[in-house]
Formats: sequence, structure tokens, C-alpha cells
Amino acid sequence: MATKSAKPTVAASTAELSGAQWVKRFAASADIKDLTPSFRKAVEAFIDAMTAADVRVRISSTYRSPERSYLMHWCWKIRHKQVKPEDVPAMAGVDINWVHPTAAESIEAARKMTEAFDMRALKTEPAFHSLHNEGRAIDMTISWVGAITIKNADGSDVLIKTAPRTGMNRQLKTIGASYGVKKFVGGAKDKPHWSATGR
Amino acid sequence: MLKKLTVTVALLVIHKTPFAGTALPRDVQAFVNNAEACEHLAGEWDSSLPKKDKEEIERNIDKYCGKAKRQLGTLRVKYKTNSGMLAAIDAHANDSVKSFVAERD
Repeated sequence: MATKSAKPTVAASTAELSGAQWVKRFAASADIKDLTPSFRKAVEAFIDAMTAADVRVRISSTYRSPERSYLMHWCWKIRHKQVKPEDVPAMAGVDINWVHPTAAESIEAARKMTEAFDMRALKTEPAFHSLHNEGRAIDMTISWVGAITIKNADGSDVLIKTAPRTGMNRQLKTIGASYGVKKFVGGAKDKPHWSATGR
Repeated sequence: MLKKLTVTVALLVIHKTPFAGTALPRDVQAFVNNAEACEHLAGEWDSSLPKKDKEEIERNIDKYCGKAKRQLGTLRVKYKTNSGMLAAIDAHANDSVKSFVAERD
């Protein structure tokens, strides 16, 4: 008579088990070259205009691969017991096995991934998709001193002497839009975010 | 009036226009705004961001996702007999709102 095992049955898998070692395999980018070609061209022109006007631009994020989003999303879900490891869908190009010999080990491995992703204070799942996955969004911190004169996409000069002297400046948003780089429509909820759509 | 409201709700469900200012009741519209902000912020977070940026996103997620999740429960009870409104509410009850955990580990 067969006896029941205390451990769940784990399907044989050649995939590598989940764990913190996965976190560095799909790096995020802050390089304009990783944007989609049309948006890259728009961003380059807008940043060139800002740089020529002595505006300081610090880019913090451009492209995030779908593979990176997949890892961030599902390790958070497993860690918070919102999905069973065996129910996580596979993704082409990410040969990861979320199912360890025991449920506790699977959750612990996911916890280590969330730690490595610095998600301790993150209270919701990282979204599975954003415009950063399409290379159509950029996060940048923008600042300047005093009044500036900056070129619009049509080549005309625009004097900006209004506050704030940041990416939240209304005139700068209009200039960005003339290049096809649109400030996030949600206002101060996401100050560094610009994209091809304003979303 | 009822017909107009039904059409508005139906259009909102179909298009799910972010930050749209429509004829929804004020409490539902507030939920929609918070839920959309929550979803956007969940798509912005990345461990590669500067610490200051990550902390700002985390604070805003606490604010907007937290509000939206609380509002979701309240609104589902309040509009339980209004199927059109429930559909509009559920259309905006995205995964980022539903997965929000009130306490960090």
C-alpha cells in the first residue's frame, strides 16, 4: 500500500529554481539608445534643446524588459501568497522554475528575490506592463536656474521665467510635447515620467 | 436621465479612459482616479531607480492604492443593486488595487 508523502509532488523540470540569483539577469536601462526608434529621436531632440539652454537633465529609467517585469511581478505575488508557485505562467526566454520541493521553500525563494529587488516597502505587485516595456517612456529629473531660453521643435525660441524650474513647468511641458515627448497627464503623482502618449 | 447615465457608464467601461472627467458620481470618479494612479505607479516602480524616486513611488502607492482598495469595498456595497455602476467600478478594479497589502512585512 502506497503511503502519502508529506511533500507535494514536483514535476521534473530542467529549469533553474527561483532565487536571488535571477535578479541581475535582466537589467533595467537608463540609456536613451534602448528606446523605440521614433520616441528615441523625439527624446534626443528634446534633451538636446534642454542641454543647449543650460537645463540639467538626469535620466533614471528608459527601457524595462518584459522578462524583468515578469520576474518582479511573480516573485512579489508568490511572496505575498497571492498565487501558488505552480500556477505562475511560463515566459519564453525565462527558464525559471518557481516550484521548489515544498511550498515554504518556494515562498522563501520568492522572498529572497523580492529582497534582492529591494521590494520590502512595496505594497502592491509591480505591474506586468507599462510603457517602459515598450521603450516609449522615460523618467528624468529636470532642473535649471533663473530664466532660460529654449528652442521649440519648430525652431522658435521660448523664454521660460516661470516656476517651478523643473520638469513640472507648464511651458516646458508644452515644449516637450512639440517634440513628441509628453509629460505624464496625472500631474504630480509621477514627476519624473514623460512618454510618447502622456500616460 | 437614467438612460444618459447608463450610456455614460457603458462608454467608460468600454474605453476605460484614464483620469476621465465624466458624469460618474463623485465617489466613483474618485475611486477611478485613485485606481488609475495606482496602476500607473505600479508600472513605474523598479529597483534600479534612485532611492529617492523609489521612496516617492512607494509613498504614492500607499496613498493611491490604499485609498482605491478601501473605496472599492465601500462602493461595491453602496452600488450593489446598480449593475451598470458595479460594472464601471469593476472595470477599474485593476490588479494593482486588488493586490495591495495594507501592511508591509
